[in-house]
Amino acid sequence: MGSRFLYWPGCTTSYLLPELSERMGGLLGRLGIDFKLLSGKERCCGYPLVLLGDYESFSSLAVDVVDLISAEEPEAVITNCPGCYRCFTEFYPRFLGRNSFKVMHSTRLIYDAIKDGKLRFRNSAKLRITYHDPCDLGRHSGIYDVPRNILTSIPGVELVEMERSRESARCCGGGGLLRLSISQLSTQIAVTRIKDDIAPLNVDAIVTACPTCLKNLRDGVSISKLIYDTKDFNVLDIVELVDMLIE
Amino acid sequence: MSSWFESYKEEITRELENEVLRVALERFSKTYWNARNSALRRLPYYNYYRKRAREIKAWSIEHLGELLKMVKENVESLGGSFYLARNADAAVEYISKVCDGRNARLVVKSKSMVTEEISLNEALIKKGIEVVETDLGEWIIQLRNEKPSHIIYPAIHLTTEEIAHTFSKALGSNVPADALKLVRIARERLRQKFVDADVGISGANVIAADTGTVFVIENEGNARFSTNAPSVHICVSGIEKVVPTVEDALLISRVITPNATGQLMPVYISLITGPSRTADIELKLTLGVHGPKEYHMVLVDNGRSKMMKDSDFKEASYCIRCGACLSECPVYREIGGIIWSYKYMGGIGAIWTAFTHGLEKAAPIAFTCAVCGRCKAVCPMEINIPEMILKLRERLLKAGLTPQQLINISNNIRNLNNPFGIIREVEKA
Ligand code: SF4
Repeated sequence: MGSRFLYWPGCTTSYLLPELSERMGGLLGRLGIDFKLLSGKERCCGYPLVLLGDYESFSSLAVDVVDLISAEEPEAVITNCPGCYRCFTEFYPRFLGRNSFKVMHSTRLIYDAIKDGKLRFRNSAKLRITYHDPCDLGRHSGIYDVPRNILTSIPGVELVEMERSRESARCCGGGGLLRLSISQLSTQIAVTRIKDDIAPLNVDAIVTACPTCLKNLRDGVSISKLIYDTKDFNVLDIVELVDMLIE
Repeated sequence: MSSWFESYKEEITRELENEVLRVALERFSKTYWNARNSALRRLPYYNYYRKRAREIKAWSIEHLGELLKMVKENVESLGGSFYLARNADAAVEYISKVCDGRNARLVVKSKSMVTEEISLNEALIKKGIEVVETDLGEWIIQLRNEKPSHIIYPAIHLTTEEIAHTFSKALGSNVPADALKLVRIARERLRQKFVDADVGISGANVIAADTGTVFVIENEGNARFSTNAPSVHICVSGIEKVVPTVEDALLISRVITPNATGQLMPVYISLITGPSRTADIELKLTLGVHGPKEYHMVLVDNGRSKMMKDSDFKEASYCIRCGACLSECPVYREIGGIIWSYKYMGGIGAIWTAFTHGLEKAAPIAFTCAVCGRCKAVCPMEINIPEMILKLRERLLKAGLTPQQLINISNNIRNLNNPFGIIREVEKA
């Protein structure tokens, strides 16, 4: 018998933001959650193949991933990647015709821990932030409130909403493989998100819950700063913020 | 095979560096957002309207055959002619013949995306006919020899300053960058054209089958002139525009308007039911009084019935062409609709293009989408555009139209277990 939970960081976190997966692992440990990683056996969830319309490759990859995960017999798969989350919850059942395993986004896990009193925050924070809805988590998976509930539970953190938020949120530009295929356009969309939607709020940090948004918005912040002289916003994944402010 | 992607990306880079476009789209996106939001706040029944509109469209597409038959019978019984054009060529040929029959020298047009789709202007101009676009936006782009960059706002890629520049060039005098002055010039220059025109061509926003009535929505009043002043009126539209009743058509007009322009009602909705007529003299029916004597309705199929029969894409035919999806699209916000189109632009445009002009023309449009779903959230008809984009990409892949750069991503996943092509060191035990 393996561990109760399987932590699935997904390719973006695992390959491009290893520090985020470490934070996430650390947080899980502190919460006393019994989890394991696939480490060297990790595969891509196949979401990029869906976005490419390569359903044939996707279906066969999905079968392999289900086998890989099922072998660990986890109670649930935990991921901080909304792309993987959407892929597992929407496209796996659609293409495989069944629900193969339970999936939880990191925000759900964190919020449950807060509700159960397992997560306590330092009282010293004083941070004005805004929350950027990742498309795959918000519009595509309908998760808008859970991350906000986390943020408003942290003492000293003031959540300021953008005019374009929730279903009206502007994409960070990283969706649809655009970050990989037409990167200049992708970054420009992030710049607009920063300049038009975030800069007027006068916040200290931008919090999101998606590694692709994180990377794209960070690029956007540096370019927007250069061209439009906007603030050098700190862009944080909600996991990072929580882990930083935990007691 | 897909080297087109590289040159297409260069075009995108150029558009991203286009200063006029950047300023124009920045102004547009803010104004539109505020206007639509404030209109929707003042329309308490909006959600009821748009849900009903979707039901009407869904029903109409299922019963299109009988509705088209009804339109034809009604238009003909009113003394008009009805023509169902199988494709673009057939439509252009029919319209050309009508113009020939009247020895037309001058045609005035009000806004119509379908005539863009079938490249009507080019064909008429080739025949030596002078074609004048009378919608201000369309007129501006006609002066610049460009194509529309938005289905509602054809010249939205231009700033006031740039339009003044265009007018100055066309008139050979210095025109100030002042919207009021620019409008005055358009009014002066176009007024006589309406009077002199032999034929007026319009589009249609909705068509009611039960009476054969065409709904033309506008704010400027040019469509009224174009459809009223010349002695021949040709209405050109797509077969998907037909709904059962006049009431249905009015309801759809009310859904189009706030999404298109942020108004509660447009300034004008013209309801046109056949040629102008009178029976004032001894109840003798005479056609053509102050309005046109000759009236033609040309409805174009051009791939639409194929779309409607395709379960993956059928819902794209529910589109009422309100443009909300473009106006709110984050990609459109950066590059606009000139390069991101063949004739139809943006996400929904990619789907339409695939059916009206083929997969090859749709490929660049489809691969520029961020699949973020903003269009689906804003679309009054709840059309699942992002899902259709994925289905379209599947067909593009099968047709060998996927750019190599994207194929590489799938190769990376297969060979290296990640989309980025990163070779990971084998972890030591
Ligand atoms: S797809 Fe929807 S939002 Fe876009 S033009 Fe059509 S009806 Fe309007």
